[in-house]
Amino acid sequence: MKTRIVLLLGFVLSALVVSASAQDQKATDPSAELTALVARIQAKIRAGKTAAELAPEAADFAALRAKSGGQDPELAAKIAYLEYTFQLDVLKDRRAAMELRKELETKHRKYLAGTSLGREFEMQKRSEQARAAQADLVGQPAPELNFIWSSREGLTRLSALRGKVVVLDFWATWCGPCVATFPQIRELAEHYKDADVIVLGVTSLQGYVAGLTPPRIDTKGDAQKEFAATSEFIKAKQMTWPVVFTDERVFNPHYSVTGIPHMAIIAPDGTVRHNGLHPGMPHADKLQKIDQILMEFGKTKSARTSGE
Amino acid sequence: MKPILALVFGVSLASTAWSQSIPLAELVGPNNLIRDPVYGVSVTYPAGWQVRGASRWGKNNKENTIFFQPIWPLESRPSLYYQPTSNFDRPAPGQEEAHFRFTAGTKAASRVQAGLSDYKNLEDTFTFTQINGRPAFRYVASFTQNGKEQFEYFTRVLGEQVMVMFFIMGPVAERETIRREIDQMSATVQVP
Repeated sequence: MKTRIVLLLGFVLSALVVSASAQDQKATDPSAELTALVARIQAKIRAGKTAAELAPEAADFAALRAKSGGQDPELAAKIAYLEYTFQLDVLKDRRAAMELRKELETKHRKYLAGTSLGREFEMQKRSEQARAAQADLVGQPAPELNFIWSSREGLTRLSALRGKVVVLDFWATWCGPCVATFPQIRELAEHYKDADVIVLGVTSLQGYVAGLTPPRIDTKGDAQKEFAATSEFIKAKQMTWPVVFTDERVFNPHYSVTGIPHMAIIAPDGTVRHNGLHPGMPHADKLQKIDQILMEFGKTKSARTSGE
Repeated sequence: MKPILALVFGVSLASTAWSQSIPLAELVGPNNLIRDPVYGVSVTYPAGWQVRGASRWGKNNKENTIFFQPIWPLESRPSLYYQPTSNFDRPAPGQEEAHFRFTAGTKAASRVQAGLSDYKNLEDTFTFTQINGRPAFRYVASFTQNGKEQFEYFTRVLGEQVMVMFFIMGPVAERETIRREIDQMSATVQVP
């Protein structure tokens, strides 16, 4: 009997020791701690707790990040990233989030692939590259554009407009932000109607036309149908400036068009003077840029800016 | 931004000249209850979620989208879309499942056309059911983006006057978690 009790006690004790040691390991495992911390925060959010009531979890996050620093770098990046989103999305503490972002951008950047921040970094990178490419084009001869359709008869290529200031506005019917700037473009075209300035809406075949009735007219594989529907769109949206379809994509790689609307200004000598502008920029800034080119080439300035 | 991204994610919708934001005070009541006084649609969103915004846009300015942020730290961003059935040909009684299957097919085709070349509906997830007395259809689609496996989950509910659709895209690792939350939410929807 005694032996049985001793054996039983021994079994219970060893089980307790094993269990305690598993708990110790769990408590010191940053991955398990992170899971527990996230669950704790979620429970508090669901219970409607305020940012102030989440202060202990913010402290726990900072402690966990500090502790994980020298260990598994992927886990350290994950902890830092979750803490960043916690500060930004839950606590709405932008300053703290930006501090963490600096750390993520430097120390953990390569571990961020697939996260929203990683995607944001990639987009930023592409955007910076595009801006650099857009700037590189300034002062260079304007890449030729060949027109497969024009609302103005006889206009077949960009170089035919040599001698004028050409304002290119890259757009598409489905692009809401493009359509939103039409009033400003209309104003610009009207302002320079008697000057050597031409505003040109540049688009390309999209396979459908948006913004009419029905709201999506399928034109895939039928260029003539798309031209006809675009003519209707031009009338409906009161596009008083000429519109052309180019044989290249509206996201024209030669002008580094990575998003539309996208505006470029070409001088009468055919060189690009500005690229990557937004047509919604202040009217006065557009006039200043165009008037400066007109003055340089001895052309008549617009009536309003010359005080006529 | 590439046009496909704008099309697929509706990113531009909230900011287009054709859209009109709906003040959240008009929609969101206590206890996470949303009720649109114009269309009579109501739904309760899960605890811990936030409403990021709402817009009226599209055909006759009668298409509506409410944007949600689910509980932290999920990256998937669900939306609730609804429009009056007068905006399209409402299927005759008994034809709802065929209609849902057809629209699932056209949605997939539009996603492929928009650049998600491996987008496909997972037909074994097609579920024709009823939600609060209205015919409903749930299914999952899969695709990859930037080399990462993604999912899209739809729940459509067809009322007499209004059609409602819950939809969400996100990393596949979040799929089952968010699906449970969407199912919980869609079970509360009332569609006139």
